[in-house]
Amino acid sequence: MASSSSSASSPHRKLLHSLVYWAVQRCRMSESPCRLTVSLKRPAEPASTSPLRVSVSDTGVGSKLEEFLELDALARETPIEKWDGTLLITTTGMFSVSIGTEVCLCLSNEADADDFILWLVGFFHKILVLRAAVSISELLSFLELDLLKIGTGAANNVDGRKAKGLHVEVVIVTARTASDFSCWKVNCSSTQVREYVPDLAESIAGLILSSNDKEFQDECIALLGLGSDQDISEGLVQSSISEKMVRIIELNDTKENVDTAPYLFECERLDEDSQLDEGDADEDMVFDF
Amino acid sequence: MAAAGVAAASLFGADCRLCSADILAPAEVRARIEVAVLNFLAALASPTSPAISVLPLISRSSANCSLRSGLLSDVSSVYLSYAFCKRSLMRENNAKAFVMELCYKILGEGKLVHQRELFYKLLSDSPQYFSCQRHVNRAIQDVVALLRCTRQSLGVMASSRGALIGRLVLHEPDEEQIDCSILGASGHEITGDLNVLSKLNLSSDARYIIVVEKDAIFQRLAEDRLYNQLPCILITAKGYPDIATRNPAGLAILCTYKYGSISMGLESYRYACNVKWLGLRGDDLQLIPESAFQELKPRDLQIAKSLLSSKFLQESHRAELTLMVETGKRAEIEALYPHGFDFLGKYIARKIVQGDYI
Repeated sequence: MASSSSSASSPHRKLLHSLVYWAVQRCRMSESPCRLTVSLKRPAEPASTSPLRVSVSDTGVGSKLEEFLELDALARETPIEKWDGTLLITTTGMFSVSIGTEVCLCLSNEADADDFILWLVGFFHKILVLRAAVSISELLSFLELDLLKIGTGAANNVDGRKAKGLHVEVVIVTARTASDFSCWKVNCSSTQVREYVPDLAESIAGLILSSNDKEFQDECIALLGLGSDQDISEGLVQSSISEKMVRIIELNDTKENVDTAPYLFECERLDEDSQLDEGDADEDMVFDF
Repeated sequence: MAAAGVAAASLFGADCRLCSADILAPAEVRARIEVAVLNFLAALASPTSPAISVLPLISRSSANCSLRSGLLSDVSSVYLSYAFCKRSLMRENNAKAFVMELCYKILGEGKLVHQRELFYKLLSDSPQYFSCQRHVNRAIQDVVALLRCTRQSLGVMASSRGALIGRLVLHEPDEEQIDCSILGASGHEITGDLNVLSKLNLSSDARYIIVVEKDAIFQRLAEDRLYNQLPCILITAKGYPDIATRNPAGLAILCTYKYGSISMGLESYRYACNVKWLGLRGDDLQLIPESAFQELKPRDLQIAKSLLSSKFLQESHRAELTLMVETGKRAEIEALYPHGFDFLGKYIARKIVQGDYI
């Protein structure tokens, strides 16, 4: 068979190479200590058809167009059974500031996935990283140590001088999961959300349909998969949103294993902000005390 | 106003980790809301990994705030930095989705509503999500922290509570001039509309602005026409009508004027002012008859504790507060009245002339 994970021209390798490269570039742009995390999850049974779930995240700044052009080209040349060409890209921060990026994708589970992982560890030994400090402590607590593969290296400048003050530690985490209904746990869906689904859907639908911005409305309708020739009513939009939310909640509810791997953007506990009980204080919340 | 703008710009330029809320036109805020909705729908509809998103909000906690001074001013204020907390769009007592929807519609109609009006509208439409004004205010602040625009940019203004009287002539464009020294004792109501305020022409020969917590005291001083004896303007917020300055809550209010608040930390730098504490303070205790002292209530102690643990409290205020907590008592300003109803005016004038404020 042509390219398996272990050959140099393997699509898996090319993809990881590219994603890590761009994450490192973002860390370099940041000019402050950054975290680069690579996480790899594989199904427990080696022959399973469930995919490898890969996540590359960083706390750098500045995505570039070339990044997406390159990934797009890679997607075209990669056989669909190896990678379906889909990326989930999440950034924290909106509008003016982006302080982190996570790229997630699913790769086919090759027979020689072990070799691929070994290759990945070796890859990190050779990374030339400038002004990026990589920290891995958060990952360690969640997994048994024999599933952890750690690579440590010192990066040298191309002219042979040792780079000053540079220390890179990279942890590649492999984890086994028993079931694999949905690829990622990037949200918290709690039982509370299920109660609110109809009202939340109604609110968003109301907002969309109150808009006089046709482009915005069309984009929303397209995202929801509603045909533009359909008669779009608020009720239709509301039920479309509702159905999607309910489906997501059900998917998460049926997962047997709760993922505990620490994604960069894991939802925090929805605890009540601690506030002094203001009794009958009414108006402005300018008052902190 | 120009100097304040340069000062703010210098500070943000120097420390780009500080966050602020932008004053935006309605169309821009609506665009930001649309982006939020599109992001949410895109996550819902993702083919490989559908999700119900949580929102990244600038964290308004004491861990995420600091006190900074602008480059060109002596005013310190609360600033927040780029740390985020994640919150869902819909939560009991904090249904941001409804607030966002309502603001989107309000802005679409070019309107501006009071916080109170918003509360009543939400209460009638969705009573199970909002049971009091505080919940609505909190949801509004969360939307501010998400979209990073000012509250007024969302089409919401604080309900007008303030009044002023004294040596000031106000001139709204296209309106009659208002001489605030010849008004009745309830003074001139200060609008909550910041746009209108920014367009006001003000002229004054006052040397002092005196901030009075209680409406009753404000009216007493207004009736006595204190501003004819002392070149000043009297202002009251009337927000907490039963609170006097000689107790922890009064000091808390002073600190809010002085530094802004964490809850509104993205806007605080615009409104903080270098206010000083005139009275009642520890030195004035000898003026107050023993019978007028009251026990500090649990709520007072709670506020005192919160203030004392705040990194912002200046030393002199901290000393006063500690004394207050140690004696376990508080007194209202009215406790000075046994000396005569005009005593208060004389007390204030004396303190000002002697520079006795901290």
